[in-house]
Amino acid sequence: MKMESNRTMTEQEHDILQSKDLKKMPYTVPEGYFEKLKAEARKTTEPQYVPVGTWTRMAPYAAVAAMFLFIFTLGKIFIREKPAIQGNNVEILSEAAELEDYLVFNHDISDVALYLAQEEDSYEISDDEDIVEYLIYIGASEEYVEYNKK
Amino acid sequence: MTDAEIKELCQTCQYEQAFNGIVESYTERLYWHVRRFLCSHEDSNDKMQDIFVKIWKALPEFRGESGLYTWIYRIATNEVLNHLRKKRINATMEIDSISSSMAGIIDEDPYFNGNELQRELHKAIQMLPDKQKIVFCLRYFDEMKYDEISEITGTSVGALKASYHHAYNKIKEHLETIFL
Repeated sequence: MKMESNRTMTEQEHDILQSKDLKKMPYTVPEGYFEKLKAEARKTTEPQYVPVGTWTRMAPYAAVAAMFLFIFTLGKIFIREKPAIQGNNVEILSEAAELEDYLVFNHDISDVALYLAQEEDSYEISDDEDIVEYLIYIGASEEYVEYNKK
Repeated sequence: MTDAEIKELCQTCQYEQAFNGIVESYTERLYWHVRRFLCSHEDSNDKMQDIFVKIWKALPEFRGESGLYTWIYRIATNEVLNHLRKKRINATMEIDSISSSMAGIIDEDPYFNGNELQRELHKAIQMLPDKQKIVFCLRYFDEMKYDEISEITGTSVGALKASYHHAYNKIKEHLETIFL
């Protein structure tokens, strides 16, 4: 036990980190530094004035303006799309009216009446005679033509 | 002003007086704590301003559950660690090159007044990883108890003992190769 404690003592004597001066603070500071540091530190509690730049002041207004611009642009796009569709119809209608005017001006009125009648009847089913004529034209058999007449 | 008096001021919401008490009692101790890690006087001075701002802002949250001493040291230590981390990232340096730049600061420091052994000791400390550096300084220089260091660093006592043991042996070996 005694030998062990003697060995520990010897180890400690040889331990370079146990040198007395080693734990002393080797750094120094300029004279009066700590007083200045304390005075500076006390200023921390004072309310600080933070200079506000022009941009920082204007930022909220710019944001509102940007938002309005965005909404306005969106509105514009939305409103423009609808007349575009209507515009096409108007164009088609006006083209038809122009054609009518052209025909009335340049042709015999009966041609115009015929054109308008064709336009109106274009979707009507032809009568029986037309069907029969068509069947004869394509060379359908007599029985078949007779059957369709009925 | 004692810690108990400062705590009482905090509990009665007299934060300004409490803060002034902290400044009066802790400025020197904190400065030396920071200086051991940052080596340079200028860097330590800048960091001290940041630490005081942090303490002032955090003072209303201080509940007095932990000791004032450990609470303040925890703020200071975290600030120092963040500073070292940022320095490492900014310089995109490896630990070795940071430690060598720190060694350069010690060699050129006009406010270093120690002998050769002390100079080498402080250079060797800079070679340690951050956690070992903190444990070593708090235990070796400030002679803090492991419990207190554990409160400051948030590391278990067992891990701290192991870290200190590693750090101590590394530094000892380093100094012995130079001086023995």
